[in-house]
Amino acid sequence: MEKLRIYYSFKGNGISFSLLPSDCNLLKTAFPEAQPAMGIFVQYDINSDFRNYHAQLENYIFPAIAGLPKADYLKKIRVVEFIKTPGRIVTYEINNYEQEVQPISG
Amino acid sequence: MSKKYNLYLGKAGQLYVMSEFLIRGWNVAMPEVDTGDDIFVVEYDKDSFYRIQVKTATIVERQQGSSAQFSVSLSQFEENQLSIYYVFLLRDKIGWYKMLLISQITLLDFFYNNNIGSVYEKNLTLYFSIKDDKITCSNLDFTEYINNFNDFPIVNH
Repeated sequence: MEKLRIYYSFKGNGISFSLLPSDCNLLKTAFPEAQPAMGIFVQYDINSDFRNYHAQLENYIFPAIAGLPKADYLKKIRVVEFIKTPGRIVTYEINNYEQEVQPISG
Repeated sequence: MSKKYNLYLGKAGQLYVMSEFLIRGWNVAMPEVDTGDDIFVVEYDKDSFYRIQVKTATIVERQQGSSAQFSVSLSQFEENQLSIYYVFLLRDKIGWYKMLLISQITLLDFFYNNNIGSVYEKNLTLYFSIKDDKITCSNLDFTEYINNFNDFPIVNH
């Protein structure tokens, strides 16, 4: 799969990430085992803490929203774009995902 | 039609859509503060909550078929919220004709990937053509969204 687009917008108390239905369908076609989430909401304070103590949040939003059961599958998506709406501005890009996502423990 | 009539038509449409949700067993409410949403619908047992925006238009007869035009605020439209649904309600001379029910994210998908409608100032104008029970907008078939209550199954009480 060449590209996955994740749209996001700022809400009253956080950020809402979402996949468009056509991109969900593309994911399911490319990876029949995929169970895309369609939408993830992250509160501002969690977003801020996460960036301070862990890493760029987008790297974790991608596997969570794509719902791919195997890390290898994530690498098969060449480019992941994070697009801010309104305005459709690409603000963050993941190329050739390499990160091993580990569960975060307290 | 006068602006005053449009207010009456809009309110009538909103109440009609509320009655459709009620008959399906979903509870409804009108927001006290107008921030763009027309109706809140709730399925109590599952804590399902949705925001509904009702757009009402009168069908205009054309040489071939008929048409109806709706305007959607772009700033609200691009919120890409999964909980927002649009109801496009069509009225003809006899009564309510048909209701198109479509999620905001699906409509946004059509806007981004199929360039539906036309943007003027801060609004998106959607022009629906109706012919032989088929409804199209920007050459895309919207017939499957007629009374599309798939996400709002009947709740038995």
